[in-house]
Amino acid sequence: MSHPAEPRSFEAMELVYEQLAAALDRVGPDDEVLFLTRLAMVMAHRAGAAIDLAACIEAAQGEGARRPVAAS
Amino acid sequence: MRPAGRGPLDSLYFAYPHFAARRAPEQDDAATVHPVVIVGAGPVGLTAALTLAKYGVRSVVLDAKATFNDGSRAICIARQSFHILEQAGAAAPFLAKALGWTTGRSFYRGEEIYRFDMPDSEHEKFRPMYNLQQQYIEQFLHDACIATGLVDLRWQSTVVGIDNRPDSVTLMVETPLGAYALQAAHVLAADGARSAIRSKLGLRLKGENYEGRYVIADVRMDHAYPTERRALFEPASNPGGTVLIHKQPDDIWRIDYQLRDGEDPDEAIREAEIRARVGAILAEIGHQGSWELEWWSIYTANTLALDDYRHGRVTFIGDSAHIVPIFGVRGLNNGLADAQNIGWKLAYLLKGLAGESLLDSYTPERRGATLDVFANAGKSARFMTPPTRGHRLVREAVLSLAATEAFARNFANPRQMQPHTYADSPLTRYPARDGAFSSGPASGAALANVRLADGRFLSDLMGEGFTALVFAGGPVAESIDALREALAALDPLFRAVVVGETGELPAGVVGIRSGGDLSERYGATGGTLYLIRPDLHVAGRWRTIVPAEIVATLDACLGRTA
Repeated sequence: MSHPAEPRSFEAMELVYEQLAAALDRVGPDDEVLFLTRLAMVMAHRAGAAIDLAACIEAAQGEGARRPVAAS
Repeated sequence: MRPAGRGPLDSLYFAYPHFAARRAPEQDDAATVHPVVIVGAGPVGLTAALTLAKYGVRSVVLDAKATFNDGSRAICIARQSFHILEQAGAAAPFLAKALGWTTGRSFYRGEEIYRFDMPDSEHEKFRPMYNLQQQYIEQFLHDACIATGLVDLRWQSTVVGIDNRPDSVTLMVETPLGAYALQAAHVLAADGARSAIRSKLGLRLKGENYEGRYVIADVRMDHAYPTERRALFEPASNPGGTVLIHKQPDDIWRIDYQLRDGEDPDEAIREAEIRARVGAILAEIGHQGSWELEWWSIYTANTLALDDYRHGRVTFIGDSAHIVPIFGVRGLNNGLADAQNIGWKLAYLLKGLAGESLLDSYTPERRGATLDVFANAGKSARFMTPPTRGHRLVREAVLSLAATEAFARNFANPRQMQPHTYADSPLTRYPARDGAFSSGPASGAALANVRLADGRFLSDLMGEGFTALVFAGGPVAESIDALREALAALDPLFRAVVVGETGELPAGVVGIRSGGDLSERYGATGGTLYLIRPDLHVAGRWRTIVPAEIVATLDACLGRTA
């Protein structure tokens, strides 16, 4: 496990990609928004001061976030 | 498929030859047992025939068709494949015609989010990738086969039965001029994804099928854009589906586009639908001139392989043994590596230079390469054709973050083909010796090329058999002489290449005067030795020579020890 302040490597992010995709499929479309919000809450709590949550929200809220998600 | 009014071989740019059926000698006198019969005259089968011919081994090649493949299909030839073609003596026409490239760009909703440059340098003889239509690949290989005088090509010859016995194989062959039995000591099944040999032997590919379908279409147009791979994610012209664009010779452009979930594939391959979809994509990339539709097809992504590539005297090479998704261009390139791998091993066996057990290394080496491909291609396929809503959402998340968040861009990396390292091969006897090196290709890895002071490349100095690359200096001269003789006694094609040697060299030893850069790149000191296989993979390396281990490695590589 890397130090909390160190960003994850790309290889580790590939694993996150797969884990998140699998978790979203388990949760199902009806509950995915609540799941992702809960996930953000848990991660923010466990990361403590290691992350700047406001900056994270801003990064995720960038231009891409305003587009409708194509997933069906 | 081709537009209405044109036959399957009415190409805009390629004149298909017609190969007549000929009466086979077996129809008059069935006595011959051929050393090798290759089923399938595609790129893989013909490369196997060429590799055998290089060692003087004759082969018969059967193909059910009367000409080359009907469309461009596999168009990306990787650097390592160019080394294979060069070793087979066929690289020149490929270099003259194919389009080399290094760069790929990925776009998300029209915006460039990722660019990759494949590793390239002055030390490489070939570019990382070349585009060339499969008909040209087959034509150039065919012409090279004919030029050897050792390849008996039999077109319009369909294998309808096989008897795979412990001592030999009998193939029942049907031709327009009648049927006959063909005897072979060894059969190479290069008969493609729908291999008849495979099904007649009752063998099944195992693995995963992916849902996503892609249409591949070739158009001819005058379009000013460099030879790069373009990937368009969520383009306006194909919402919900990815688009890939490659340039080919003769002003032919390949457009691959993903079908949306639930699209009817039969509807998708109607000509009017192809024209509408391709037209929209061309408009999106700014092509304003005219274009002509040449050819199209459809595919799904699969990762499937046989458990064992050898069954008695039948060996599967190329798509008959494994099917991989096209993302990363590994189908053709791994097939060519299969052909080269079994080619030199079979040639050594048939010339009496190697034991039968050498063939046992084929499956672990080449199936290992396939499993490696699956690990990468599976990721690529899940990205290019997301299998579930969860995968679609995460892909959308990283693509939409890529413009502003650097970490997200790498997900668009197509993980292009890299040569496989035969790390766990039974031929790699002393991998622990790698620990003494700080650089250079490891045991089992492909040769790392280096441009030499005289302009030649290291790969140019490798022999047809095993090559010892010896770094001179230090008190090793005498033991090297004895070792060289021992190795040459085992392999008559053995060659020694001595780096940094300034004195007189014995006959048959190749010298490289200035070894500075080479020594550094190979982590070498005086007395370092790399043993290179005929397929330009490293059999083993020793920072300081250990003669007994080097001889034992060559023995293993010749199938002479367990």
